[in-house]
Amino acid sequence: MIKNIFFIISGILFLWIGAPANIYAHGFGERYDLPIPLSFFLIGASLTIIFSFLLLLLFYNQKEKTNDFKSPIILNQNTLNNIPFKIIKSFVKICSVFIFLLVILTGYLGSNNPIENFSAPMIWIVWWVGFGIITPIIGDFWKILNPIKIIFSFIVEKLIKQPKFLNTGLLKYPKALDVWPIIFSFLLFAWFENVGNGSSPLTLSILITFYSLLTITFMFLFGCKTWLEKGDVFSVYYHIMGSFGIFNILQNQNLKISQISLRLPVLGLAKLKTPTIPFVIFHIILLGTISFDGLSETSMWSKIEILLIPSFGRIITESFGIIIIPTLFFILLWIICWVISIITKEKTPETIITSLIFSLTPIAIAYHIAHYLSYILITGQLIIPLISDPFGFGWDIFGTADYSLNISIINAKTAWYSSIIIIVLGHIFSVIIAHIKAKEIFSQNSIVIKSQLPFLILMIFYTALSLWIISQPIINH
Amino acid sequence: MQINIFKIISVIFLSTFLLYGCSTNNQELTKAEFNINFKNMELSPNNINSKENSELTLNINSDINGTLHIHGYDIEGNISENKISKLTIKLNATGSFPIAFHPEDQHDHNHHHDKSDNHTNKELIIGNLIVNPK
Repeated sequence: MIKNIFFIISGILFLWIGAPANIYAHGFGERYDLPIPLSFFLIGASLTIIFSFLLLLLFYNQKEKTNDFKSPIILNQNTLNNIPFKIIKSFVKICSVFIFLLVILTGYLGSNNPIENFSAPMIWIVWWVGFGIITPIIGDFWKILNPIKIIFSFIVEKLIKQPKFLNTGLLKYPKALDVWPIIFSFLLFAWFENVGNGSSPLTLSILITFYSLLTITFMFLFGCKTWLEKGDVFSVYYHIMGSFGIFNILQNQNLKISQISLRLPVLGLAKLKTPTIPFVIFHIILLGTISFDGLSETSMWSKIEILLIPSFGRIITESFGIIIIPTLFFILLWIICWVISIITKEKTPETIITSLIFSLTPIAIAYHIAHYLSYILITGQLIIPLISDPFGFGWDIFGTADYSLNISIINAKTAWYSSIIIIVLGHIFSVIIAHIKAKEIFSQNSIVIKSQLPFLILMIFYTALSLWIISQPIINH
Repeated sequence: MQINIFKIISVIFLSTFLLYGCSTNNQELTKAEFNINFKNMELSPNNINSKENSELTLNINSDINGTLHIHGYDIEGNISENKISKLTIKLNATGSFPIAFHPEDQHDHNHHHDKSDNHTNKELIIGNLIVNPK
């Protein structure tokens, strides 16, 4: 029943935006990046292979677990209950809701040119790209900033005085639904980002309103906590990305922040609970769309489009890209896990795939940061004039309306060095996570090492793909 | 042999900063000149390669009146039919910047500069100014 509702909603939405008139995708604001030169590509690829085998050698000789790092608590429940922190928390929440409402209002009432309206740069550049880059570094602060969650908590706690909805809803979450709402909504989101008219402020506002109302409805139906964990795509996305970061944020039963502690970077990923196969599918779609985002700007994809668009049209061709890349990723991952299963003779491909899936995340995160570093630094400046004129009405509230982008803020060489270092680091982190996860499921160190070889090939391939994408000249659509 | 992964990672981070040190640039401004042709709505050569921290003068030989606009730098210059027009740019930012042509009449009526070069009016992208780092 609920699955059918999702399909109906998807049908309506796709019909509604079926033929977008003015497409910018999320890439409004041109990109001027120079591709990394061949020498950088070769150095990056060589370092990837060297570090892979060096780490494998180190793991082979490892006798015992060396991770004895104890997370220092920086803010506990008592500190967080102090008046200054309460004021800070309230201020942060008010700011988050204010920005959220401003995004919706500017979309409805302001200019429909994405660069003259606060909503599109705020959503696509600052939030999706910028916050997406910061979250893996600092941790899952979306738990604190999520405006829909703040609004829902306010409704159930202050307005209707039914705080039980934070934990339990009117219905029990159907087991069969698993994380399919997330898969569905992420595909829709990726479609709007890459193919649809997602940069139109009006379309964005309608979508955000629709998404918010739907989220609040499902929070009442299944409980806020359950929906945030299983149905809200952005909470799940930032939870995965944030597990990479150095701050570990814990919540109590009422979804209030109870503790903030420091942890070693990346290792939070190894502590995420083993997912189900639908969650693996979601994660593969996530990794695939991150890669497709860059791939779609290469001349190779441009040639494919030239070949396919006359027969299938632009929308079908680009939608095909969103589906085909994750599908290929999934097939490749399944084959590798099947090979590991045969070599190790201990676990099924399903067990291996669910255990090792998060070890590919650091490569995706590293690629995401490397790919968007100069974009966020240059195009991210679009938000500066829009702070003074959010609706595009010609206002100049803070005197920044005439700000011009500083395109020399990052030098190409700095971007190249950063990209290579970040991507190689991402690969190293992936190898470490894969090893930690493999140790959890295989009985002996020798089998763990055996299991790592096929997976290492996959990781090298994925890293090389990331390096290859950033070595390609960007085609601005 | 017992390993400490986190020491290895710390060494890598340290190397990162050392590599950044290697990527600093010489800020001296050099001068360069480039002759380009814009005939039959085609720019030749269509990719203009230059170096950062230089003052580039483009000598444009055109068979049509209009305006050349360099995205990113947001600089534009008029070009005249059968005349050599000059356009000088101080190249302080690296990157690949599209070069657009606006015909004279269209430019006068439709073109307005926005903050990100995301032009909604029809313009013809005829090439790229590629500024490489030093």
